[in-house]
Amino acid sequence: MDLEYQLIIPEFVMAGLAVVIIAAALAFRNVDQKWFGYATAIGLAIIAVITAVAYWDTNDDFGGVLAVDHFTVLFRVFFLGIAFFTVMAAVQFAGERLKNHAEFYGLIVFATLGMMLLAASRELLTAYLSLELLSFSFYILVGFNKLNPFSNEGSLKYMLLGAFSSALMLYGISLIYGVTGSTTYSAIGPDVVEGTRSIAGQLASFAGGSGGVDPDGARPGLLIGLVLITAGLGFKVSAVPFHQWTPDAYQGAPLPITAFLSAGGKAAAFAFFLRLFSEAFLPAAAEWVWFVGILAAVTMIVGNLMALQQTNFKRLMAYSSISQVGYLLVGIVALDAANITQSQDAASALVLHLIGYVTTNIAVFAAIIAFYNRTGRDDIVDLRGLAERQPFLAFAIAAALFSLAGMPLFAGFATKFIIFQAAFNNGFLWLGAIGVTASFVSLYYYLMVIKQMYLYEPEGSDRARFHVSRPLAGALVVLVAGVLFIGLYPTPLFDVIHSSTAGLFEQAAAISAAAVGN
Amino acid sequence: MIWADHAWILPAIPAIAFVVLFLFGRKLPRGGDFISVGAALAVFVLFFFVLESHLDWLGAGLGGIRNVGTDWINFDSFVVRLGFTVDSIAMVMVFVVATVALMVNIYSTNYLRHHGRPEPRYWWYFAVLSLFVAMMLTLVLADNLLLMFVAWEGVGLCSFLLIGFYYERRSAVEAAKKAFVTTRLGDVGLFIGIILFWRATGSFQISDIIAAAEAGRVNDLPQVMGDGYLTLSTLMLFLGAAGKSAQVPFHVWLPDAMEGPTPVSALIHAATMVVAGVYLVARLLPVFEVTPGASNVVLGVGLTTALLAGIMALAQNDIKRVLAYSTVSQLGFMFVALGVGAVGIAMFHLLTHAFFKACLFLGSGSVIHMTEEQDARKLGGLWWRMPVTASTFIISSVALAGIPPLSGFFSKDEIFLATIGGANTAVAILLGIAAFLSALYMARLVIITFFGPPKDLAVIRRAREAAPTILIPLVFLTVLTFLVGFVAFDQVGDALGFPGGINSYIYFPEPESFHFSNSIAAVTGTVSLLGFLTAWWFFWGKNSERARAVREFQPRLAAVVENKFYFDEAYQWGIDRAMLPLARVVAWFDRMIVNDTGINAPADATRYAAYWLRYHVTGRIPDYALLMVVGVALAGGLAFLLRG
Repeated sequence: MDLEYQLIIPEFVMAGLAVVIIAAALAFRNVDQKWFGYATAIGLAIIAVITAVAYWDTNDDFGGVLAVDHFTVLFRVFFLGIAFFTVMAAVQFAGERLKNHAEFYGLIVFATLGMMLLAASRELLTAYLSLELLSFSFYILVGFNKLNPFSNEGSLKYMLLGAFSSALMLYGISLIYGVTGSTTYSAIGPDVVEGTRSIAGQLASFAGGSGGVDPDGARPGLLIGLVLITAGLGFKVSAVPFHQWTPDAYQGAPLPITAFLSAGGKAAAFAFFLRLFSEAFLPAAAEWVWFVGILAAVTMIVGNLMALQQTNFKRLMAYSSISQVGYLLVGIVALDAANITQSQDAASALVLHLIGYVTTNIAVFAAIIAFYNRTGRDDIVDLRGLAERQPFLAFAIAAALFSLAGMPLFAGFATKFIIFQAAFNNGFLWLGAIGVTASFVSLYYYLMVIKQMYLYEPEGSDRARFHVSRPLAGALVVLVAGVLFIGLYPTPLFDVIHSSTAGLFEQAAAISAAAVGN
Repeated sequence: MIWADHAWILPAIPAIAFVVLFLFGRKLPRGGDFISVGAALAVFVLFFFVLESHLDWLGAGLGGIRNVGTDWINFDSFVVRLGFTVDSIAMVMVFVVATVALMVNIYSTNYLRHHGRPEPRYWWYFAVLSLFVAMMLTLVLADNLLLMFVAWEGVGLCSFLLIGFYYERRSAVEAAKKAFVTTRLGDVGLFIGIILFWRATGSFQISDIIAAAEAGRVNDLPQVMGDGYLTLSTLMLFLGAAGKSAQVPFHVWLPDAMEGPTPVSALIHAATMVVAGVYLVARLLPVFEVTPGASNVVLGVGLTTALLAGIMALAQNDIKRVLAYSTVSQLGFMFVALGVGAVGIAMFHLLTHAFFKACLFLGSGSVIHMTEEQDARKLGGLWWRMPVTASTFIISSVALAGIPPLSGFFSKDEIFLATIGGANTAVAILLGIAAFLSALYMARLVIITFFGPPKDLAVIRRAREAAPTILIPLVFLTVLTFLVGFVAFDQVGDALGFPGGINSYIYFPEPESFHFSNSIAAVTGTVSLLGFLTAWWFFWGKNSERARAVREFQPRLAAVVENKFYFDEAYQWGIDRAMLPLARVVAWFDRMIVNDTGINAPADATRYAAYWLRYHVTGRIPDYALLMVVGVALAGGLAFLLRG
């Protein structure tokens, strides 16, 4: 088989970049550590630009396991952007509070590599391996602050439960393999339809009819396989009830890693989720859509209610991110086997909300990192009077939190609007209603933070105004501008996303066309 | 590059200037005023490029209206365009906005200084001025009602901020609030109108709405209202227009708005924002024409306003307030023209009025800036001390009064012609009285301000001719006041590149040519001269005894006029006796029913649920894993129940 290695050059370069950064730290022991951070950031930026320019028109796949299409390229650039902003936000933090910087940045690059491979995967085991590369990097990164007991606790919980969820997912994969005889998406798609049919036949034969199709029945395997894979993915995206590691890991992890985990980790898992469910499982949508729907509803409700109780900002953001996962799952629910156009709208809505959410979340964390660099505190009450001490940070946090709550002018409004509209179009009125109500509840806890910043005087011994380092401030300006831009004028971004999600549904379109032909 | 395709550049330039000034204005040298002036200059220059490509394209016979731009929001069923219309009436408005904005910007660099030193918040003034220009240009160019509404509120905001610019003064704060609240009443109507039209036609695009109205499709869709739907929607739009353009009964805010810096009055409250209502009706006139009765409402409101404001202007003593009532009255003239369906003529009067009224305001600003006095009773005799200001002011007053051959004469004459043709003689006669009044109050203002013996020596001692940055805009606008009227003639239009006179361009799809009629011109000219003579008879020198005699002869009537027909008092009574008692009932309902029962109860329930929910977070890994297993088991069980 001829493998076209040029398709995955960015992934090779990423692996090289990680190794080079780690090796360089051994060679240059006397260099100021921050340069490793900036070198990583510049490397990521260059790869992102070149990937975008060189691969945008590619539509090919690597040995049937990695697709390099618009969707992959969009997510490659997206992940590289996430990593870039994470590193920019992390440099000062790492320099002051962490050791072994080169390994820190190297692991971020490895995790990003895992994300890029995950978004491109069209084969279950490749996807699984990419997911593990991503997860292993994160297990280490969460515990990177090894003298901090919270960091250790978070890392251990994340790793043990992660292993548990991997087992669930692998079992699910094996069941799907058993039903369809394949692990590639392109083969699963048509076979899933067969699996569904065989059950119909089985029921018919039970009822005394003459279905005559496979009496053993693949249906139980298919159903359990789907449930288990969804559960495994639910863990990775932290959907309720697989979410409990999230607050502990978020709180324990060094702040930039919390940002990276909440942005990159979630984005990668959703890229996988979306590609898997739209390319491979869409024909069997009826079998899983109700389950994902319940998952979305429970996640929105529990995430938002739990967030009401939090006093620590990182834990608040953990539950906030859980509730955002609920909204994103609505996008998966809105996929519809019978209506490919509508499915593509839902997929685009999901990706748009994902990009809006990630931009916003990195903005929040970048601002909190800047605050933490000065104060070393991360409880909500510590933000008291921030509007007086650092008006720009307070504005950035307020804008980002409004966006997360879905207020107009900000990204969250436009993206949530589109995603709920997709759910309405697919008949999930109840889910949209829960989503809107949950957003309403979320406004309360976001406003509590804003209230602390704007309505109270600074307290404690340190009340002076302070400066934010220039690279961090620059990154924050870009992120807040992005949040406002997506909120005010989402059309250009949506058009790009829409052209990238088209490829996901070619196979489903072919299958449904064939079904009509029959 | 075809400039008309990129008309968005026009509002974008001052918008960028605003962002720069907002962020850095405080730190820039000279408060960054050069950025605002530069942006206005760029808009003024680029306008001619846009105009040229528009005219090229008219000359090529490619139709009258070009929509450019892109989708702002596109959610399938709900599309809002970030679209701009480049057509003839938009070009007229852009010309007005660009010219007056540039003049006001230049003028303000001097006016907003006290003895050469910038006033406090100098940078903020220019920031808001730039924002205003951006919003006004967006309003003018918007091709859909929603974008226009955004800009409509934007100019309202800028007007609020600038009226209240001297917010240390209580009266300025009150005036800003009054302007905002009063226009807001109209704006709510406008928004309701926009929504009603959207519901009926499924579009915010002005062209779609006009097409639907002309095809009689607006009444088809809404089943509830029946035939009244179109009338209701159109009148709601007119409510917005009347509020913004200070028509009776919304006129009360405009005179108070004179609390703002004078150049702001010239730009916002004379030449541009207050004519937005006229512009809105002009743009949607086809809708008004197919709506039964709507044109008559426009005509009636315009005529009432023209007369009432003309009378009120007679009894005012503050220079700027006289000009403000005069603006209200002239806006009434424009609505009368719209009421008889003469869009081109309304826009022509809008154009000429913008220049001479801006010039009058800037002239009054020059007087106020130098003498620090704006009560006309304390001025007088300024003619010798401020010759340039006085002569430009007088020329503009003559133009306003409608004396040939100045621009106001041509446009007013057109309105009379159109009224006689389109309505009836009674309307024309009433309008003639309004025109007589405008000559009268302007002549009175000129006489007591610039002529006669000085009434206050301290004032006359301070009076000196203003600096060139103030005089250049005055002279420039006076030149325009001279010229713009002639453009209506074929010959002049030919020479300037508008074959057939400018009127055939102002409202392109249905051009209205200029019909100069000697007899009408003679009548209107005589009426204006009569106004001047009457003013001379009552106010010149010792003749003012006669004015006093009239006042003492009918003290009650005089009091009614001086108190502006007690509009403000009536409104205050309404607020005290009706609004506040109603507000108390609503407040009680809100506190007891909405808040305590409707909001707090669900909020308490939510908090309670959250409180108990947190017990599932134990921190123990086995518990976490157990919950995952339970989740999977439940899902698996449900899978067999539901789908097995």
